[in-house]
Amino acid sequence: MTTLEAPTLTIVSAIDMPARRATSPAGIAMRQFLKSPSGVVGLCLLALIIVGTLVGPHLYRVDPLDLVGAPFMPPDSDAWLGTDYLGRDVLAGLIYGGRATLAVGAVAALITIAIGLLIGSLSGFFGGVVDVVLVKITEFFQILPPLLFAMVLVTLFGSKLSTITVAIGAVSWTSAARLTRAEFMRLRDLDFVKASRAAGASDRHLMLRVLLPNALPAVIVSATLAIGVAILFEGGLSFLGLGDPNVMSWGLMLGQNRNYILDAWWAVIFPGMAIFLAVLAISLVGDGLNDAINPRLRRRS
Amino acid sequence: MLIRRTFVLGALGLVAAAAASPAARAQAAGSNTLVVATTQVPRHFNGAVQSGMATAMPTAQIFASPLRYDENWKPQPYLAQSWEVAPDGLSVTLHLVKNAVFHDGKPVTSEDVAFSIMAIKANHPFQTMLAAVEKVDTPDPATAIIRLSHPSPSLLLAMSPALMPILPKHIYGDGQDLKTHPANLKPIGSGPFKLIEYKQGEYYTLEKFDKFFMPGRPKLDKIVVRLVSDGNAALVSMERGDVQALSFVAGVRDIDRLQKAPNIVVTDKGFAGIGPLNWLAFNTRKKPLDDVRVRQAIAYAANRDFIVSKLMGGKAAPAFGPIAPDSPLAEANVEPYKVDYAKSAALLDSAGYPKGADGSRFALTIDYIPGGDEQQRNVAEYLRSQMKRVGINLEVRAAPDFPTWAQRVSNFDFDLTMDTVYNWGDPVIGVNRTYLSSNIRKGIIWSNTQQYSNPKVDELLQAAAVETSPEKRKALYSEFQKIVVQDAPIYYINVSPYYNAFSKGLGGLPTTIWGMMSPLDEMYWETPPKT
Repeated sequence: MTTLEAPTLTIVSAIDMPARRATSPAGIAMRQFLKSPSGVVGLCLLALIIVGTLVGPHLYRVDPLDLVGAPFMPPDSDAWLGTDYLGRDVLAGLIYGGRATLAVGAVAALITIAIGLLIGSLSGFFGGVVDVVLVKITEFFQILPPLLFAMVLVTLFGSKLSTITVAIGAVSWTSAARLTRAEFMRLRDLDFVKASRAAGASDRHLMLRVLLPNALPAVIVSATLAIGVAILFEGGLSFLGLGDPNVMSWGLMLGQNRNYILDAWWAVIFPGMAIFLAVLAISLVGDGLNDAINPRLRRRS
Repeated sequence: MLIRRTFVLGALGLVAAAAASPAARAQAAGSNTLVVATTQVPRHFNGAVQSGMATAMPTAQIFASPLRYDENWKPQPYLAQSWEVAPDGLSVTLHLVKNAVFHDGKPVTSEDVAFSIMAIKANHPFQTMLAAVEKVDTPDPATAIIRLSHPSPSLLLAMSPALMPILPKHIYGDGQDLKTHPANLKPIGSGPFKLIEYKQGEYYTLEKFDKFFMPGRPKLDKIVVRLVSDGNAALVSMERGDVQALSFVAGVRDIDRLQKAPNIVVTDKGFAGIGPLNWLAFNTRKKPLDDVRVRQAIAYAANRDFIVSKLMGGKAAPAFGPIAPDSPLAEANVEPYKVDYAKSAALLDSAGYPKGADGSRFALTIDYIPGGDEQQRNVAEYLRSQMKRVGINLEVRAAPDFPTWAQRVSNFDFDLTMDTVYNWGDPVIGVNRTYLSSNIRKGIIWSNTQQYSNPKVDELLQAAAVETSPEKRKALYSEFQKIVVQDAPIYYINVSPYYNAFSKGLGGLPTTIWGMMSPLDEMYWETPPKT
């Protein structure tokens, strides 16, 4: 769960800052971010969803896998959002399922970014043979249809939430790698990098201390969007019957209830809306961040 | 002017009537045709070497068999106009009709019967079915005497159209492997319909055989069987009348929808012969399931009533024992395991599995056949939450595809699994395999994968297999059922809900024990319904 806060970390820490005009890069980005209405709306929505899934289970103590009544009970006073095809509480599913869904999204995005950063930075920094080999590898993964590839992985290693998360990360890192590579190649020949190099900085120092901090903004934006993609991915896999049946998630609710949509629309519509809102919020935040931390974009506007 | 308008209106009315009534539409299509849709796609049309409903349905149309069955499990003459079982039970004599010919015009003789029986014995997956047959004597073209190594009361049921198609020896007896014989896709039989066209995976067309040996049959001129992968599309076609019969409908919601349609007759008759049972199986050699009390405890907590009435919407009949309730051999008086959580907990306590501090006793996994959501996955998920009530943590183990599931279960790599197994008429054919200790065969699915072994049960089943007195046989099977239900290697849940749907206006519906897997030679269009 802690990983969840990674993308929003800069903002949260900025809020804690004193009221005086911040001059740090994070502070500037923060002010820029708050100027973007869609970013703020997205952030509020996302905060609401996260708080809901974190606090919800303590307020609404119904096991999402337990049967609380008859199957297909419509939303009413007994079950606020109705029951699904087994008689499980849809509201409990939404609250607890959000945890799994968001966790899958965040962890898969982290895996995506970790692999992407590693491959992209090595490729972009060293160039030459290393670059050629790594680009070929990236291209190989890029041409694999991601959903099909993820299905194969889940089929091979079993429908566990952990497997699903890793599978999503393993199939979606290529764009992060290409982005990182492009940033590193762009930065590598800039004057301040040349200066550091001339001052005798090691490759390691150059990569981690000089290039990475400057490439990070773009990567953070891409990571934020990757969370949304991963959430959709989990939904897609569950929809195809490859969800983890032992852990309630929004994707699983959607996938398992879709056969019964004519009998119980509520068991499909609500998790569907939850996924839609979460992905929307994350996309809005990503857009806001993009505007805020990309100096070139800022100048343009 | 007035006359003309009346004429136009009348013509319009006729057109409307023709468009609205499926019967009229089928007849307007040029003939007396029935269009059937099914999701059961056959690999080929030779039921002598292939089991399953998909092949059995066309096999029963194309090939005739020695006997056929009515709704009450009574054998009826078919290719055999009469038959006798010897008093010692060691031979069955068939007296064949004399006017039966194959679709290529050659007469059906006892040679063909002898060839077919031996071919089925050698090739059919149901190895127990004809195990007793030693040879078939053919003293004359109209007489076949089946010689048996021991009495085999199940033999008469094995002579059904679904299980014993009579193949023409002059075509299938050419020495080629029967399982891959080219004629399996271009079959020649002596049944009421001949196959005139097969578009792989799309449809096959059966046409009335003019020289069929039963006078006045078949009544339909043509049957077109559409093979559909999407049950929903078939449903819509049925509602619109493009398709006038839907076979092997299994989805609870589909059944419900068809039952509500005004122009459709839905029936669950026609599956008694198959006896499809849906159940929860235990790995009886694995701890803690090796203890009968644990298995019984799970049975007492499972709540069959809820599963049948709620999860399956009341469309499935409950099953209480190893023989499907529609069989005359079914024993109703067995332990029903009515839901009783206190009893379940007490059994678990006495078996030495008290509740731990966290309220749980032990953890198990449950598998299910992928694809069959309503009968399999939903029940598995439901059982997980039921078992929590008595302190058993059940983890649902999904399999990505059928082979994965089959491999796990047949290699005994499971704790609990949902399963669906068919009786196929006589217990010797489809029941024994699940309980005989000699049938614990690693790697073979739908053998005794529970690894259940009880010498008394083995003895009873072996005795019943050769018992020629129907009353004594029934008594043996009764005792078998009581013991097996008590030992609980399996918790029986329900009869898989299979239904057939027909357009109103069709007569001679196939409601015998084999349903659509019996000749459809009595089906006909009544006067098209008024609109």
